[in-house]
Amino acid sequence: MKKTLFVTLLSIFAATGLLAKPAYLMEFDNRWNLEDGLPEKAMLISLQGIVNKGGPELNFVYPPEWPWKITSAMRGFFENRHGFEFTVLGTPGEALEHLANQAKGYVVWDKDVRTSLIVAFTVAGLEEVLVVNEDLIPLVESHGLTMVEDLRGDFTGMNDAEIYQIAYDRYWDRCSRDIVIWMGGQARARMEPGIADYGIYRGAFFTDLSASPKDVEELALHNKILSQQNPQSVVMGWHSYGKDTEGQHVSLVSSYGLKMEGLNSLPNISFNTQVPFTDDFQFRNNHNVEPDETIVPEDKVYISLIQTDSMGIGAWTKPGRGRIPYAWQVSMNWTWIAPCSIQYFAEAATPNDYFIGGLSGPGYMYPKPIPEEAFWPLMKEANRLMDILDLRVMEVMDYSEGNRHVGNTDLTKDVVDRYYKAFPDVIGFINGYGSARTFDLRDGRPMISYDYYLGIRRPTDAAIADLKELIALNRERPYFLLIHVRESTTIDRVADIIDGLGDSAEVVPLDVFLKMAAEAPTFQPRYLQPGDPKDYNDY
Amino acid sequence: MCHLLHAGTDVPDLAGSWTIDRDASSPIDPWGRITLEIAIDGDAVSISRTVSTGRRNSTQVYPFVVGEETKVPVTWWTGNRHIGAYMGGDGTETITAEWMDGGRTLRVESRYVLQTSQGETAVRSYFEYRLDPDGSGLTVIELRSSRSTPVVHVFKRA
Repeated sequence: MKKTLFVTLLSIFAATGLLAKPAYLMEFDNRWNLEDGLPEKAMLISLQGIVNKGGPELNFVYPPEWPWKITSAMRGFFENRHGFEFTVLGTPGEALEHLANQAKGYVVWDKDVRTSLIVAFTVAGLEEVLVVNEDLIPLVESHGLTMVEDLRGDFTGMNDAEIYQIAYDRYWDRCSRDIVIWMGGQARARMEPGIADYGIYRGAFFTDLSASPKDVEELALHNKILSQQNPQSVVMGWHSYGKDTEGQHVSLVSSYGLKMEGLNSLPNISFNTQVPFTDDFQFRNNHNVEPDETIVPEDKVYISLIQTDSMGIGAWTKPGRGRIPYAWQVSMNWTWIAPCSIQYFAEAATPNDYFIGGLSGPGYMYPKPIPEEAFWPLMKEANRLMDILDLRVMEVMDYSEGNRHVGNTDLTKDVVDRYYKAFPDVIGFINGYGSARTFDLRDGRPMISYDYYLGIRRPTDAAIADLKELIALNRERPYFLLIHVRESTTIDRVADIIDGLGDSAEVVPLDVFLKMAAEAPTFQPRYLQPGDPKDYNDY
Repeated sequence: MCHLLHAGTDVPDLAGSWTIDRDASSPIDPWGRITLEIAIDGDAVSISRTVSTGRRNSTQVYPFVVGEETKVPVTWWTGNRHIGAYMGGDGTETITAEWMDGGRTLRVESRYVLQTSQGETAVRSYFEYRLDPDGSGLTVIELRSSRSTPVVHVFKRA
């Protein structure tokens, strides 16, 4: 028996290629201010982007407060499933001692000009140099590095449009046309450049140019940059909270037929992108129905729950997962951006975790602004990724004419027509973010919008009253009540809210929900109407 | 504290600018702030209600005459933005109102149609705008026919 177990384990190790892979690991604290903690971390992240060009060698564990929650869990995954053996580095000096010889020097950013750090990230990728402020020069020089570029004083008194124009003139010709980094998110004194290692690894241009029409010069350069990227290429990072809105930024990206991968704090991608699926892994979704199966519902209220906003920043690691059926929107581009992350989530899934594709295509995009000629190749790629990931539901979101507060998040009939044509194999579509009112049913495949948005701060009692109100307003049975759960809301809290409805409602897996809705479509077909409210995100 | 007096009485007037006291109110999310601008000219009342969060806001003005039935066009129902319910019917609220408690309370009843995923439902909201005795605070209580619990918003003069 013991011998059998030993042989089995050997087979698993062999199958997964579990030979020791040396790499370095360092833990970050939560100090990310320009004058406290950020300079050292920016230097280390640039080091990561450079050394990982030669293979996955440097990984960081981010603090519990970090938006992306799974770096600590991923460490164990790398060790157990991929055979990584990490040498822990305690200080920036220790990291430089082991790895600085792979850098070709350093670039100095200007402590008085925050944007110069973003420009320095571009330089780091092109020249394979570390980004430092003047305080860190002695440290890097003590490890044998010399100055390659000095940005101090270059941008004094300039606005961002002027700074980025200079950066464009200097570096753009050498930058990637497949990846561009929007180094936004937190503004002013704080910066959370978790994605910067990947931009450096790929030789990307870094910016946080505004998409707001109020910022005329920034918007002009923003348009120029996007227009020169390759078709279907990727914009990574996030818009600046200090300049424009999510709707403005993603609408603009979508209008060029590009894909948004929207998280400036997404860490370790230069490492993760080089760690493939293990040989013994194949993505298998937890389907509850066959594609051609029919399920006849009873006369009752059916609820299904979806969490979007990327699994890594949500409730995946929080208590309660597996307690009730839950659908999780997968960022499908992780198939190539971070395959090991996909595998981590898939292997940690419980039978109650069901994965769906999104958002709106192969990445985060809004369908209404996408030019039709760009729509079809994008959705062909989305189908390819859905096949790899065994996904049968596509989620659509469009903030180009509003958001969950004002305006609308609905789809025109023309856009709905396109989705039905582009995705012949899905069992249904989801629309919205907050509640929306685009509904359809074709060939037994429903498109259902969220009827409820469960916000992070919504008290449990109020949420129960909300759901009871919806159930009162929708009197016909069965009633199909689709809920979008904001990412950090724990499943335990959601289960408590559902319990508060008593026996009047049943939570079912999303694929079962869609199949039943197709059999008894009590919702009324509806598309965006000309008179519907709009809150214009001009772009 | 001196406030306008209700016409012909010795009680303070509801007229003025009001800002929500979130701590004392029912949850107002997803909004971060609600303000009221109330204008009164005899029995002619105008209540301008603005909901806002971050860079987004929406204002709806309800002009009506106390003692008469008034139809008010409403493009955007902000009663509960979490739920899939929208202005339906002919896009109006039919409002009746009366002064109570010697002018310290304004009772407003609004009838309208909400559109949801299954269609349209007639809804009735009963509001009481109750002024504090010293005129410094305003409590707005809504009983909505579709909701089993009251919604209470407490305002302070802006």
